[in-house]
Amino acid sequence: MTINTFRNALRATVIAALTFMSGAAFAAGPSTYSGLNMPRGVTPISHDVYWIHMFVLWVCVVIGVVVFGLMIWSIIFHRKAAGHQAAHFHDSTFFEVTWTIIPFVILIGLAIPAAKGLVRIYNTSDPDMTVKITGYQWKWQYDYLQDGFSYFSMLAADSEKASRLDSGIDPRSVPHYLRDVDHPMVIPTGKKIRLLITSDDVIHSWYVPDFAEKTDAIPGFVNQAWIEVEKPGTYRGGCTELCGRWHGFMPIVVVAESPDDYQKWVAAVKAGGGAYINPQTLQPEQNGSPVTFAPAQLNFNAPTTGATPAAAPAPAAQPAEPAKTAAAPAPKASSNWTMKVAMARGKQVYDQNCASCHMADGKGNPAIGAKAIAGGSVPNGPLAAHIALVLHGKGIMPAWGNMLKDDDLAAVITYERNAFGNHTGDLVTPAQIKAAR
Amino acid sequence: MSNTAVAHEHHAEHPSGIWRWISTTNHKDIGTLYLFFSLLMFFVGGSFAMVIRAELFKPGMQLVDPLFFNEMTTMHALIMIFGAIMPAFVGLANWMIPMMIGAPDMALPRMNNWSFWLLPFAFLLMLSTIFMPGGGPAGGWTMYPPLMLQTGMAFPFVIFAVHLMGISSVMGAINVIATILNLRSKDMPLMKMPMFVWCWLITAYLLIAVMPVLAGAVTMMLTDRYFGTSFFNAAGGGDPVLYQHVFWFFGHPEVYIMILPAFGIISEVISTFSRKPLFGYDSMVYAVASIAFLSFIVWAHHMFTVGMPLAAELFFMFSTMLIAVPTGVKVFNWLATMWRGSLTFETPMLFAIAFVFLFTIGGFSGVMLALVPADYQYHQTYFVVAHFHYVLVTGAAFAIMAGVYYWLPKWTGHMYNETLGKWHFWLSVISVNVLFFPMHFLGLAGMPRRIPDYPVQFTDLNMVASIGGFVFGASQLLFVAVVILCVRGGKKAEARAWEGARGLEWTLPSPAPYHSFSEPPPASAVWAHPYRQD
Amino acid sequence: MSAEAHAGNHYYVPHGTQWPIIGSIGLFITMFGAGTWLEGMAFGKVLFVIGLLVVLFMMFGWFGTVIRESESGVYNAQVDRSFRWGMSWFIFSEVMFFGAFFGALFFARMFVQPWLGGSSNALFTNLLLWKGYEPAWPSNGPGNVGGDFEAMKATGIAALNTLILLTSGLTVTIAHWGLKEGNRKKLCWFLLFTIILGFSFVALQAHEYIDAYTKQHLTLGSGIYGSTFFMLTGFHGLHVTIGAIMLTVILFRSLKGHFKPDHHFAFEAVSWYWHFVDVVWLGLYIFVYWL
Ligand code: HEA
Ligand code: HEA
Ligand code: CUA
Ligand SMILES: [Cu+2]
Repeated sequence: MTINTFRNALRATVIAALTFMSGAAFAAGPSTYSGLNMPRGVTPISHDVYWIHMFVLWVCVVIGVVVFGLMIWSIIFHRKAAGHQAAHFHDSTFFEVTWTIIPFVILIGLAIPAAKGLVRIYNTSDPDMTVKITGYQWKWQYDYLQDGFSYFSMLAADSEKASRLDSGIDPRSVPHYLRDVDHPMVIPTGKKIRLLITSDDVIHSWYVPDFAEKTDAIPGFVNQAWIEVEKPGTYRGGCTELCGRWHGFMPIVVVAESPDDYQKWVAAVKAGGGAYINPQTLQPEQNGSPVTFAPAQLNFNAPTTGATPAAAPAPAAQPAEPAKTAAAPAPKASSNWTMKVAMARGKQVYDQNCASCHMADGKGNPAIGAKAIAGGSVPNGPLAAHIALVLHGKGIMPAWGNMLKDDDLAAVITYERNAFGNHTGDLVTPAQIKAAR
Repeated sequence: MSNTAVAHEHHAEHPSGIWRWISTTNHKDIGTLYLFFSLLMFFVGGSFAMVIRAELFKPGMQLVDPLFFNEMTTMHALIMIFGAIMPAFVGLANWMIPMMIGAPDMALPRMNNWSFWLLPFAFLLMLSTIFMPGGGPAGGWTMYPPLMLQTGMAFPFVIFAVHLMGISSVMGAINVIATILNLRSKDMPLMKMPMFVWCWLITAYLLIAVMPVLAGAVTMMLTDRYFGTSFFNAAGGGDPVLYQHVFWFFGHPEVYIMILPAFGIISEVISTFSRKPLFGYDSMVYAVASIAFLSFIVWAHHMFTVGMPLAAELFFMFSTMLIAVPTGVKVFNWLATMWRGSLTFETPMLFAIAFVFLFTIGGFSGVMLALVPADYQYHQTYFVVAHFHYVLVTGAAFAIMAGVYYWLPKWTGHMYNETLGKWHFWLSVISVNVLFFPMHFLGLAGMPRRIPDYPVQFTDLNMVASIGGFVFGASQLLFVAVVILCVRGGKKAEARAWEGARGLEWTLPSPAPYHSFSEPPPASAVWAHPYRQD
Repeated sequence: MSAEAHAGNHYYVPHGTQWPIIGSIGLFITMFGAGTWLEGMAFGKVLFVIGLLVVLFMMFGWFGTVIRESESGVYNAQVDRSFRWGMSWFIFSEVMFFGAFFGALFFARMFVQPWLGGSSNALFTNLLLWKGYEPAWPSNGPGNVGGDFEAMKATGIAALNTLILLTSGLTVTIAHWGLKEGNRKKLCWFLLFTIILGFSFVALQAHEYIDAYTKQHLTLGSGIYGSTFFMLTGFHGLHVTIGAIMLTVILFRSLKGHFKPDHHFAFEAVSWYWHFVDVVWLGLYIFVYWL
C-alpha cells in the first residue's frame, strides 16, 4: 500500500468527520458536488427528493440531539462515581403518552411531503417522448420508439480493460473509470420523457442519481418512469440491482442536449440507417457542459467511440419496427463474407462479449461454469447445436440472439469454431443465423 | 439445599467427552453449544466480510473474481444472520430463560438438542457449495430469481440448507414458547416476567410465523428450476416480484427477530447498572408487541422500486414509518431508566449505552429509507448497507456482547477481566463507526451495493471503511481472549454478580448448577430481587 | 439412556439422547442426495433413499422411546401440557407454510393476471411484451406455457374428496369420544373408518392426477395454474398421507391397549393434525377448485 493511499484515507476521514460535525457539506449542490451528500440533481423530481432528504435528515438530527443530549446528561451527572443515589420511580403515564404522541406527530409531518412527492413521481401521463430501456446481462438497450431506432450501450472498452483482475492499469488513469459507456443515451432537455423500463434476462435497475430516478427492470414486465432534465450535460449512473458477475460493470451515461441539437442527432442517426452516432462528433462545442455526477474534471475525448467496433451495429438496411429492432436482420453481405472477414469480426465480437466468461484464451472459467471454447464439445460438435446455444442461451450462458445481429453472431460462431486450436473449418453465414432464429 | 445435591449427582452422571455434547439434553450444555457455534460462524462470516473490505480497499479488481465477490457478499450475510446472530440469541435463551423463570430445564429437552444439531449440518451443506462447480450462491442473501436460478450446482444445496435452518429455528421457537408458558414459576405472572423473557416470547411467535414462509419461497424457486413450474416466470403467468413479496414477508419480521431479543438484553443490563427498576415495564411489553405486529405489514418497503401501484407504495410507507413510534417508546424508556439512577460503567453497560446511541442512528436512517421518494435515491446503495449494519452490528451484535459480558460470571463462576473488556469495547465502538459511518456518504454519493469495483471518486471513503473494518475485526480477537480467560479462571463471582441485578437467575449460585431448579423455587426466592416492583 | 427418576410431581427431564444426531445425519444425507440427484448425478438417488431410511429409523427410535416413557408414567400433567403447546405451534407453522402458497395463488390471480393484461400502471407490459393477452383464470400465462389444458372442476372427484375428508373428521371425533368413554371397540372401529377414508382420499387424488396428466394435459408445467394447483394439492396430499400413517400407528397402539380416557396426548395430537389437514382442504376446495 502506497504512502498516498494512506494520505487519501486520512484526508477522507477528516472530511467525513468535519462534514458530519458541521453538516456543512449537506448544503452541497451539483455544481459544487461534494461527493458526500445526495446530489440536488437536474430534474423537478430530484429537487423534491433532495428537499425531502434534507428535511428528514435534519428532523432526525434534532431528535438525535435531544435524545443523545439527555443520555449524555445522565451519564455525566447520574454516575455512582459522582455519588448519585438511585431514585426509584419506574412509571409515568404522562411521559409515556407524551413520547408516544410527539414522534407520531413528527412522522405525520414527514409523511405529507413524501406522499406529495410520490404522487408527482407516479404521474407519467402525456410525455413529450418515450424511450424504452431494456436491461441485459450486462448492457443496456435504448429504444427510441417514435424514431424507430435502438442501440446497445455497454461499459467503455478502456474501463473494461482496466477493471480486469490485476490488469496493472491504474483506474485513476482511466477517464470516468466504470462510469463511461460506448454509446451514451441521448435526450433533449426541457421535455417530459417517459421511460419504459424492462429486462431481457434477470432483474436490473436503471439508476441515475442526478435524475433521482431508479426503477427496476423486471423481465416480463414494463415499469414506467419519467424525467425532465433542466440543464444540458452528461449524467452518469449505473445498474443498481444485483444481476450477476458483471453487475458492477454496466454503467449508464445520459447526454442531455438542447432540443435542436437533439433533433440534429436523431436526424443523423436516421440518415445513418439507425447506426449509433456519438453526439459529441456532431457538437464538439458541447465540451465542458456542467457535469454533476462525475468528479470535477471531465474528458469527452475519452477513447470511447470506435474503441469498441464490434458493438457498433452494422448499418441496418431499414429501421425495423420498434420492439423488434434488437433482432433486426443484418445486411446480406454474403458476397464479401469470407473466412478472413468473419474471423476478424468474430475476434472483436468474442473479445467484447464472450471473453469475460470464456476467457480471452478460450480456456473457459470453471469457477463460474463457463465451458472452454478451446477443444470444447460444442464448438467442435454439430453446428446447429452451437448456433442454437449461442442464440438462446442456457443457464448462466446468456441468449445472445436478442443482443447481437446476425452477422456478428455468424462471425463469432465462425471464430469459435476455428480459433483456439479448433479446426472445424465451418464458415457460418448471417443467413444461416437468420434461418436458425 | 436439595437442588444442588441433585445437580452434583448429575455432574457425576452425564457422559463426558464429545458424546456428552452430542447427546446432551441439558439447557446449559445446549446453550453453550449454540454460543460457541455462533462465535465460530461470526468469525467465518467476518472473514468473508474481510475479503469484501479488502477488495473494496481501492478501485480496480485486485484479489477476487467478481462472481466470487458476490459469493462472499451472499455467504457473509447468510452466515451472519442465520449462523451468528440468531443462534447467539437462541443460546442466550437456552441458558437464561429457564433460570429466569424458575424452570428445571427447557420444556422439550430432546427437541432442544435437535434444534442445535441441525445447524452444523445446515452450514456444512451451505459452506460446501463454495467448492462446487459454478461456485456458491452469488445472488445476494435475498436470492432473487431469475438471477438465483442461474446458480451453478450449488443451487439445491443452498435451498436445502435454508430448509434445515428453518426447521431448527421453528423447533427452537416452539421450545421457548412451551418453556415460558408452561414451566414458569407459579409465583411469576406474565406481567412480572423479566423483559428478556418477554422479548423472546414474542420473537418466538415471529419465528414460527415467518420461517415456514421462507421455506415456501425457496421451495417455489426449487420447483421453478427443476420441475417446470412458473411461479416467477411472466410467460407462464407468474412474476419474479412474487418471490420478493414472499421473501420479504419473511425478511422484514426476520430483522426484528434479530433485534427484539437484543431489546430484552439491553433492558436487563441498563436497569442493572442504573440500579433502578426498568422504567415503564408495561409500555415496554406493549411496544415490543406492536413492533412485532407492525413487522407483518411493512415488508414491501424493501421493494419500493419494483413498480408497485401507487396505493401500495403509500400504504407500506406509512406502516413502515409507524414502527418508529413503539421503537421510540423503548428508547425513551431506557433513557428514563438511566435517568437519576446510580450509574456504573462496567463493560456490559458500555455496550448497552453504545447500543442505544448507535441503534438509534440506524433507526433514523431506517425512517429516512421509509420515505419512498428519498428511497428512490437510497435504495440499493451503501446508504442501506450503512443502515442495516448500524442496527445489526452495533444493534444486535453489540447487544449480544453486552449479554455475554453480563452473564459470563453466572455461567463460569468467574468475573471476566474488566480491563480487557473495556479495551475490547473502546476498540470496537470506535472502529465500527469508522467502518460503517462513511458508508452513509458513499450511499448518498450514489455508490451501489454488491459491486466488487467502483468509480474512483468513492476511493477515499472506501479506504476509511476498510481500515475501520480490519481494526474492528481484529478487536474481536480480544473478545475471544476475554471469554477464554474467564472460562479458565478469574476472580470468584458471587451468586448476585452485579450489585443492581434483579431476577431469579441471580438467586442461583455462580456458576449455576447443572440443573437450574430441580425443585420449583420458593415464592420467597422469586421475589428475592423482584424483577418488577410496584 | 438414563432417565432421571424424579418423583411423579417433578417435571421429567430426559438425560442424553442419540436420536437427534441420527436425525440430523439422516436429513443431511437425504438432502445432499436430493441435491446431487437434481443436479443429474446418479448416486444422488441412492444417497437420498439411504438418508430417508436413516430418518425413518430415527423416527421409530425417537417415538418408540417417548411412547415407552409415556406408558411407564413418567410424564406428569405438566409434561403433557408442554407436548400440547409444542404440537399446536407446530401445526401453526404448517399453516404458515401453506399460507406462502395460497399467497402465491392470490397474488398471481388478483394482481399478476390484470398486470399482464395491462391494467393500472402496467399498460405497457401488455402493449410491448404481451400484446393482445387477455387476463383470465385458469391461466398458463401469455406464453401459453405447457400448452392448452383442461382445468380442474369443482364437481366430480374434488367434491367427493371433500365429502370424504369431512366425514373422516367426524369419525375421528367419534373415535375420540369412544376413547374418553373408555369404549375401546368404538375407538378402534372409528379409527379404522377414518384411516380407510384417509387412504381412499389419497387414492382418489392419485386418480385425479393421472387424469390430469393423461387426459386433461394439465401438468405441473402448465403455467401458473398448473404450478399452484399441483403444489397446493400436492403438499396437502402429502400431509393427508402422513396423517393417515400416524392414525394407523395410533390404531395399533389402541389395539395394544395404550391410552387412558384421561391421558392420551398422542391420540389428540394426531386428531388435531387431521383436522388441520381437513381445514386446509376446505381452503383448497374453495380457492383452487371452486372459485
Ligand atoms: C435488526 C435489524 C433491523 C432493524 C431493527 C431495522 C429497523 C428499521 N428499518 Fe431496516 N433493514 C434491515 C434491518 C433492520 N432494519 C436490513 C438487514 C435491511 C436490508 C435488507 C437488504 O436489502 O439486504 C433493511 C432495509 C430497510 C429498508 C429498505 C431500504 C432499501 O432497500 O431501499 C427500509 C425502508 O423503509 C428500512 C426501514 C427500517 C425502519 C423504518 C426501521 C425502524 O424499525 C427503525 C425504528 C427506530 C428508530 C426510528 C430510532 C428510535 C426512535 C426514536 C428515537 C423516536 C423518534 C424518532 C422519529 C420520530 C423518527 N430498512
Ligand atoms: C447480520 C449481521 C451482520 C454482521 C454482524 C455483519 C458484519 C459486517 N459486515 Fe455485513 N452484511 C450483512 C449483515 C451483517 N454484516 C447483510 C445482511 C449484508 C447484505 C448482503 C447482501 O447484499 O446480500 C451485508 C453486507 C455487507 C457489505 C456489502 C457487501 C456488498 O454490498 O457487496 C459489507 C461491505 O463492507 C459488509 C461488511 C461487514 C463488516 C466489515 C462486518 C464486520 O462487523 C465483521 C467483523 C467480524 C470479523 C472481521 C470476524 C472476526 C475476526 C476475525 C475473523 C479475525 C481475522 C480478521 C482480521 C485480523 C482483520 N457487509
Ligand atoms: Cu444489471 Cu446489475
Ligand atoms: Cu424491513
